[in-house]
Amino acid sequence: MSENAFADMMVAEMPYLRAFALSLSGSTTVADDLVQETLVKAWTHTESFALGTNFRAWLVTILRNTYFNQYRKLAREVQDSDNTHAEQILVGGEQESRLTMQDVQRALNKLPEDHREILLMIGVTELSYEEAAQVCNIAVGTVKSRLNRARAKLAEHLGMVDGATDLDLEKNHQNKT
Amino acid sequence: MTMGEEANKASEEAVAGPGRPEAGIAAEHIPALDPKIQDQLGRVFRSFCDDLVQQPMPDKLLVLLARLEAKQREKK
Repeated sequence: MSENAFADMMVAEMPYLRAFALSLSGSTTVADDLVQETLVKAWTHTESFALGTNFRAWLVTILRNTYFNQYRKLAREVQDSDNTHAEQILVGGEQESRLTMQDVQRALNKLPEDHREILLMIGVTELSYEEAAQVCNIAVGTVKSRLNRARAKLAEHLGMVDGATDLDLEKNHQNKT
Repeated sequence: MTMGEEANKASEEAVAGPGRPEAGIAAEHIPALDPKIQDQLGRVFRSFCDDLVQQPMPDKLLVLLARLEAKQREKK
């Protein structure tokens, strides 16, 4: 593959990479460092990209591994104060919800990371279940169950479902003990 | 993990293709969301994702990409 073709592909994927980095880390600063590092790694390892496979999934793998190895701790420290990408823009149907991007990002930050990353790989970078499974090195069934859990929790954190389920579980637990 | 290993892993995984065995982990049953809530969540989350992808690209990332490209051309 020529370098020009590689550069063109990279430019095309950058908005998806940055969107994934923003929503995964919850921080603009961390996201930009993460995308920067991913670009450099991808560029210096072009030979390890297998032609005919999904270029975006390959980049997501690099970004995701870089995040978990180097940036996760930093992201946790800064994500609440540095949430500048999530502006006061309303998302979804306006009349039914007053939710902003910031509300959604805050709700995402509350999800366990291994659930959040799956939701974002499917939603933001539009990978298939199979691709997400390969990126995380887990079974497709695990991807599906994490996705379901992530969706249910997200709905709850966004106030779309009442907290009755959690309370009921707690009650049951107390009764047993 | 070093950079090399990481990239190798990435390509290995990319090469492996679909059809990874399920490793015996059955998808846990999770009660389905009410369809109305599912619709609402779907709309809100979709529009969140679309807005994120459309965020303007910071100059520093575009500059970096241009620099990487230029370096590559020099090497030849």
